[in-house]
Amino acid sequence: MPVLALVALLPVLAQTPQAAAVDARVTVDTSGPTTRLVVTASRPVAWHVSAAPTGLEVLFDEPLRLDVSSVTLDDPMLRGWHLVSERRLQLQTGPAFTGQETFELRNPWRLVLDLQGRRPAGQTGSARVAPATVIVLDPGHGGVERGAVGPGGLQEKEVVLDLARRLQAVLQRSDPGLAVVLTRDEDRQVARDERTAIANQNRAELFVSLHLNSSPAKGAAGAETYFLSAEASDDQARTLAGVENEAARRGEVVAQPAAGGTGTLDLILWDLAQNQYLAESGRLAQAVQRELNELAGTKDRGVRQAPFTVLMGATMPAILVELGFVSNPAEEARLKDSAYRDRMVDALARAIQGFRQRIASLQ
Amino acid sequence: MTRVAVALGLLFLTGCACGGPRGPAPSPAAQQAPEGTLPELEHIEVTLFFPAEDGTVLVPEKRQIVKTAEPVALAKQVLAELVAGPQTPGTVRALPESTVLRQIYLTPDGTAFADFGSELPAGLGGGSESELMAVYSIVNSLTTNVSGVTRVAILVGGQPAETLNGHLDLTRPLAPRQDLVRG
Repeated sequence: MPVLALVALLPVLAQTPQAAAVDARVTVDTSGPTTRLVVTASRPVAWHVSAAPTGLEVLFDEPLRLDVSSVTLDDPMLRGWHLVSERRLQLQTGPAFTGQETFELRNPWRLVLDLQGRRPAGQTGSARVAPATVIVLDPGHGGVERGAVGPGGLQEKEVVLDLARRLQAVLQRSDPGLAVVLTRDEDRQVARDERTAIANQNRAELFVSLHLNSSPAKGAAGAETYFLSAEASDDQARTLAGVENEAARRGEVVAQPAAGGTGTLDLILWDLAQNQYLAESGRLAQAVQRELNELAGTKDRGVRQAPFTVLMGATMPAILVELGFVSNPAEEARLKDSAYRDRMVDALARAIQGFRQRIASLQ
Repeated sequence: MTRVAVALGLLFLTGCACGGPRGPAPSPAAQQAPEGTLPELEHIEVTLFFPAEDGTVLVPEKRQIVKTAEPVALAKQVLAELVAGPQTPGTVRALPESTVLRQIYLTPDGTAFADFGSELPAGLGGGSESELMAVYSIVNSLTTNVSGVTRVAILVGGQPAETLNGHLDLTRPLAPRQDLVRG
């Protein structure tokens, strides 16, 4: 093993700093609370970030080759970037920029600069009425995607749409300044990343996905509330960034059947985005679960965590509520009952309102 | 270590000729030759994970299977036993009876790629509970029994799958979850 490892390293050692330029690209994501600039390169490159008259400067140990060498942006934290020489990337920071966090990710290799600062609410410039606070409700499934179906034929996609509409009405009645947006307001299929994108684009304060469960197990009953598992964020990010990845160190390409170019890159960065909100998401999940137990009297299956794809890209507290087992005949019967639906909606509304008050009191 | 990695690498490149659609898993008893004709087969104990009846946790079940030293063959046997279903009272099957394992690959970085036929998502029903239990019964059973496997990627029909039935992200390999196992 040691001999083979040395042999494998030789071609790497033989490379001189004057080797051919590294193919790279620069992307900027302004959808999150920070403005994120990502340099993706075909292999790892050593770098150094320092302050510069324009804002920031990244010096690379090897020359980079980019398709585009400069971009101008209209973002409060970042006005643009420019590759002034093959090894020098200049960032022109904006007036709202206060500091940055820099880290590397692997497979493919990426340098990530998170530019922090206060993003002005609404449009910049003239005084403007503060935009309405937005909450996004996400009725699961839809269209050809029926979701769970009960033994009596009750369909998850129909029940959760009805619950979302009822919850929308209750929330808006209690707070006229609140805009409650549904990811679908009809029986149609919506891609899971589109659902999260609707919440991100609206800069929603909360994202709540509504589902009904089903199980082959006859005994399965009750409600549970999920938030994203740390494994789907921390651990995966750590692994991707990991120095432990021997194959990557040897310069090998690790088999990644799921790798889809920028799609995978986006997904990984989006994971990191939800990572910032895991604690809040957990608190919101606790609040929802408690109110469901107390007000709706559902059997308590607790707060749980899972790598649910619809939660991954959310740049706000995000939860997925499983309101009951449509596969359980007794629960299916209850879920058909309009009064029971109202009780669940009241429980959800109370949890959301309580959570929002807590956030407001902290600000 | 290196030799195993190279061997696995070759296997990964050439594919394994021993897979393909298969019927219900042969029980250990069925694999044994009639008494007196062959030397007795060696057995090993594996730990499988099946959902509890209420679908909240996975329950470990120990079972004897015919010993194999080859990791890919062992991984296939473990999955075949999962498909065969549980023997412990109070537990239910995690995977539909019709589940077909098309192929399994092990890579040197410790990832198992388990490729199932479309029978798996089709037979799962629509709930996140059945999806969560199915996925982690596979992940926990493989990582527990096949040495060197630390993560499991689930494919469907030879293709990366976004989810099995709409909830759980399968676009990257998953690590086992001890918190889902009844202590």
